[in-house]
Amino acid sequence: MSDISKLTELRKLMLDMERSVGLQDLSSAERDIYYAATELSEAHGGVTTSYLLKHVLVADVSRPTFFRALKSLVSRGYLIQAQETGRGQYLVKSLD
Amino acid sequence: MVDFAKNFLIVVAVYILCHGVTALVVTPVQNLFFSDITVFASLIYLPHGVRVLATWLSGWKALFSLFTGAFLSELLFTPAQIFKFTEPVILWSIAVGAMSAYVSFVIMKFFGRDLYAGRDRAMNWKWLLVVGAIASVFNSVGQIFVFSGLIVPDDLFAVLATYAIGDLVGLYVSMLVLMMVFRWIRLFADTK
Repeated sequence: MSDISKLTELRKLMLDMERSVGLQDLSSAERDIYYAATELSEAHGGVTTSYLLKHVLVADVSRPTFFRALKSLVSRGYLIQAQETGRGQYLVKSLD
Repeated sequence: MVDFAKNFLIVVAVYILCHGVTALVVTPVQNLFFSDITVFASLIYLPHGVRVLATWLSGWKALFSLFTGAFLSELLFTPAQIFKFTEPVILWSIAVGAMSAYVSFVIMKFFGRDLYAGRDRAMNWKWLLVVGAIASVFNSVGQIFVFSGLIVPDDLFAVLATYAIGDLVGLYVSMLVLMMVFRWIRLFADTK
């Protein structure tokens, strides 16, 4: 195994540990979008991009940052793209 | 060969550092609260984390660096009077400690769980605690055999328990420290 591979494995392990102890990082934009999505999801059972963009917590977030953060939340499993309804609809993964 | 030498030196250095922290910080504090458990064992034995992580990453190749690291650590940090009267057994003690993590990985593999780095894509860090726990049992029992002539039988259980607890807590603490180091590096890099 190369040095880079060892470092990668070590980093993966430590990230897994961070998640377990609740220290996974979210940027402020990601956190605000996640909070907004949680609130909207509780009210409507799901969340759409357009509703998220109108949410007071997200109002000050620029469009590029918003979509970057949204993509990051999906890739990290905080939000799950709804299969039935297609793009623009998300389910919030509970952290409890 | 260069990679092997580099990994060897890193593991030896980290082992000595962890042993030094254990000997100079953890053990004196421990002695304030639990005096006379034994001169051989520590309740937070950080090098156990090095044993498990180095073996996890390098397999049997880590044995050389772990043995060397432990030997140099004993030479540097064990008081001369203790080192002198335990000298014939100290090499056995070091060998048992160095092998403990490897034996544990072999046992896990025997039971169908190959936990070496890179083998399982969804590796959970808690599996390393399991490996560490088995290694610590192997190490504890091994140390009892090695020091059988030196430990008073009345102290046997206390020594066994101290080794087991010390290894496992040491592994957990060293992984937590490593996690924080990785985290700080990442956060520092993000702010630049």
